Amino acid sequence: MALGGPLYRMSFSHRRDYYAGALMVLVGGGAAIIGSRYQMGSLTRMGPGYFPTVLGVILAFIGLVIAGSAAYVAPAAAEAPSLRPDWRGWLCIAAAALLFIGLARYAGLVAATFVCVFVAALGDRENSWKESALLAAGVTVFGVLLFAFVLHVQIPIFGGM
Amino acid sequence: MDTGFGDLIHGFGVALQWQNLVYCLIGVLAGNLVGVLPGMGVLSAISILLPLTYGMPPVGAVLMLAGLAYGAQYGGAICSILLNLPCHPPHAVTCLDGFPLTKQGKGGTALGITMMGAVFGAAFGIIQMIFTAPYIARIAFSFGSAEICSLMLLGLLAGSTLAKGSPLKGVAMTILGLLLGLVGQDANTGVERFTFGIIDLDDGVELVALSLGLFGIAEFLRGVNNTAPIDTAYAKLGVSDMRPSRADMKRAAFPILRGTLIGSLCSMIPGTGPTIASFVAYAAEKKISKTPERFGHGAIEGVAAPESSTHSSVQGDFIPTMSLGIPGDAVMALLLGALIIHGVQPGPRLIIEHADIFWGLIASFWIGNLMLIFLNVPMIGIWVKMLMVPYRFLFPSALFFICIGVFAAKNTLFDVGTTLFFGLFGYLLLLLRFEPAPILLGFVLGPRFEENFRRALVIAHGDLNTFVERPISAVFLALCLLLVGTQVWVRLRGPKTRIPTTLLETE
Amino acid sequence: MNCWQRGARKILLGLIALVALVAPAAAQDNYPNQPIHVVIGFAAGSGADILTRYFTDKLQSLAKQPVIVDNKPGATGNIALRAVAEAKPDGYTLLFSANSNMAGSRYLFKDLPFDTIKDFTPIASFAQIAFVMVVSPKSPLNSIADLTAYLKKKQGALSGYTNQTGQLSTEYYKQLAGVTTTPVAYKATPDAMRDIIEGQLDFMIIDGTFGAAQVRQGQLKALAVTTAQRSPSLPDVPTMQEAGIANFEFSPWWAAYAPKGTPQPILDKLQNWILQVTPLPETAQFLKDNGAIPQNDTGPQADARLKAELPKWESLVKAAGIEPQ
Repeated sequence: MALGGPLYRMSFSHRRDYYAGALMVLVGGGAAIIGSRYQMGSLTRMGPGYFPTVLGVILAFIGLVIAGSAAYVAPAAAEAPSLRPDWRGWLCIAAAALLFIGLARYAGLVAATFVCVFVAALGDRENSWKESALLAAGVTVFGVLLFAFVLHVQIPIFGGM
Repeated sequence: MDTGFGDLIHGFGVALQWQNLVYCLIGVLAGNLVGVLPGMGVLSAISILLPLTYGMPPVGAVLMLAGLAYGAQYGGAICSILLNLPCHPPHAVTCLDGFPLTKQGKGGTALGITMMGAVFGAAFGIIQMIFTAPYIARIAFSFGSAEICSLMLLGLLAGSTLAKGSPLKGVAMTILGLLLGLVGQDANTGVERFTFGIIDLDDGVELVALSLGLFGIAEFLRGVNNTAPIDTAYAKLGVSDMRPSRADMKRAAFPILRGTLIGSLCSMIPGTGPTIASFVAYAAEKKISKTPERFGHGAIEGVAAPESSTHSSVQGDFIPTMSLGIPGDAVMALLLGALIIHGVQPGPRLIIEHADIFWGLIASFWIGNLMLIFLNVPMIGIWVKMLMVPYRFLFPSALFFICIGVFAAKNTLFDVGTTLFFGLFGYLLLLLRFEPAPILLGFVLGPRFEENFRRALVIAHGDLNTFVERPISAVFLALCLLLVGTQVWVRLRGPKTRIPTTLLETE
Repeated sequence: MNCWQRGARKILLGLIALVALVAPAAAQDNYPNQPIHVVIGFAAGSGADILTRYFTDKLQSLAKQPVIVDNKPGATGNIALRAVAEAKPDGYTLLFSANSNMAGSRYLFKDLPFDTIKDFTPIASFAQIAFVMVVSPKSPLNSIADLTAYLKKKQGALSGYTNQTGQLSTEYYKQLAGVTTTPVAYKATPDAMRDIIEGQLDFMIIDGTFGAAQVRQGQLKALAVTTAQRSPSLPDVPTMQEAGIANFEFSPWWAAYAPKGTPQPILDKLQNWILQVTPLPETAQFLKDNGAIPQNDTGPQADARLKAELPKWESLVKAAGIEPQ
């Protein structure tokens, strides 16, 4: 799975658990701070703030421990996914989902299906425009038949909701 | 209460009438179909078919809708095992070992074992319903808030070491899941937590969106332009070549039995549906295994236990619904709704007043499950062929199925956005070597834990002793202590044994 | 290929826009010429859904167009309300909603993106749902008077609730009877069943669709119904007023609403159809089976009823000590 260069991987994997810990501290701390703004209440009537605050603090603490023990765990980091950034793939996948949302709302199922599959397919470097369009057309025909006619999903075939 | 065979034979008489056979077939077929589709849950399928049942006789309507509910479970494991895509929450945990099996070329075997687990689990659930429905209903009544709360705690503790990798990170993910489960309107006070003023989050994060984001979209982000191609040579094999070997069956036999028992236990406890059952079954199987390090790398037990548990729990869920008129989850509530529409009053007298419905339903369970086996076993070969579709065509199509499936779960596009968000976040977690599976566990158990914890304390007027004074709750708490105790003991004693497991995990 | 696709989509969108422009002029005369969507804030299969689907089924045959139920559960109905408030006022998107949403939400939530009075026009109301005050079948209490006396003596009595209507009607009773209880929240009525039956809760006011069946089957004991008249599905159970709580009336009622600005002729048509359905004997039977009572108000009547209720809801929310969110 060593698709990124070994050097690059080493340097990231050494810091990986620092980042991992930091993320947990961030999420946990954030949750605790927001949570503490809700009422804490008493044991009999525990307020809505109690659980989030406690959980946030625990998560932040675990984050600290993860970061703290980073040095010991780091060498075991070979199985992580490749770190080579793949902006084309990522952008296309994100855009495909966003376009689905927009088109399903305003242009209907046919447009949403076609564009979603087409854009996502373009994210793969091996797919040509033509292949992507063919795939999209195929999925659109199948998808519309299945979801509009068999399952009656509540998206109009053409036009906005 | 007479639970004689005479009634059951009468039930078969009802279920074997040709119209009822057709309704049952339609139900299981439709269920099987939505089961394979990501996100399109039983709930959306039943709500689609519900209006069609108005014109039907009540027996046919109930058989059909029930067929949907259990039929969907058959399709659910297919995408989990072959594509690492948890189409339905109960089968999310099946991904953990199912997909590694596929990568090793044993996807067909895993599906075969799934079918065996399904049959056994379902059969057990049905038998349980025939003989013990009235008694089980009574067991359900001994579970109050304190008991449910202690049980959830046990589930959380057992489950945080669910995934492979660092246990500490597993705990962090469980807590992250618990926090995500808090999003939305607090049931006790109506206060909105972590909703950031977005109305769509008032009901919390949608489970389907969370799991398809974390496992589906995050996986696409990782896999795009970067897939080690799965060895597809075996995909050309015939069905007979994929029959599980004797050794596999032997290995799966006890996990199937244990999974089934856990599933049937979960179905007795109100509000504990198949999702919790399958997670608990997996966690338990990993806990008692002599070789827990194999889990997550293609252990057949990790497929057998949760799958049989799901099926027995789904069948068992019918018990409180039919015998008390108290639905265990949203799907069962819908079924009750269907009964009411047809003028059938659910409740303890249903078995007597509408014997044709109750016994007809049970008989149709047998028939329906039989149909499902005949439908699905030959299909395994066809499903496995799906792996021959190149990834570059597969993921764009799957992305679309996820988008529309998530939409259909609650008819809202907001959830599609949520899915994307969790996809991106999940990918970040993968990069940082977190295993996201325990997030789902925390997310599923957390809200029920908090709700019952708070309620138990209100009922006990703030006295924490309520958790130890009530015997069932005390037993669960003792098990929690035992679990943590052994964990700590192993940890303190075993720095030597730890190294090989770490090595194993990194392969 | 792609260019062609884009061109085709443009033409298509243009056509849609054209239709949208021409449509309003002709719309009122040939309404309805496409499926009507009825949005509800409850999941399929819920009591509200069962009620709605009965009426949409009947509307379908009167309108001679499909009437589709869109279940948009969530945020105690606010998601459904928002969807309809933002919908085109063309009569093809309607809302079926309870008064707790239309009147109560105003005081329960601070920043709703819609105004329940200004953004909706009531079309007609069609049903009242009796809520039922229930206790454990093992309980020695047999009347509201028993319960009130018992609660006055008992320290730390517990009452359950699942939704706004249950919560606020409980507060109403407590206010009028002069008793205090600690409210216990449940997510859904079935979740609370065990705690009522086992007597952990001293009482609970639950929705009649679910409750009437449970009472008739002897799983729960009913002390009173919250409506002003007895519920046909529980004819032996007195109303709260009959049981001695003067002035107590708490009747959740259901009505159809259209987004503000829907043309009057369309509203009239819809109102007509709904008012044709309510008096059917079949409807009476259906409502009776589901713990409900017919209530056929015209649009303006429903509007007046709603507005008259506002002060009561406001004071109850305050009395319950609920902070608007």
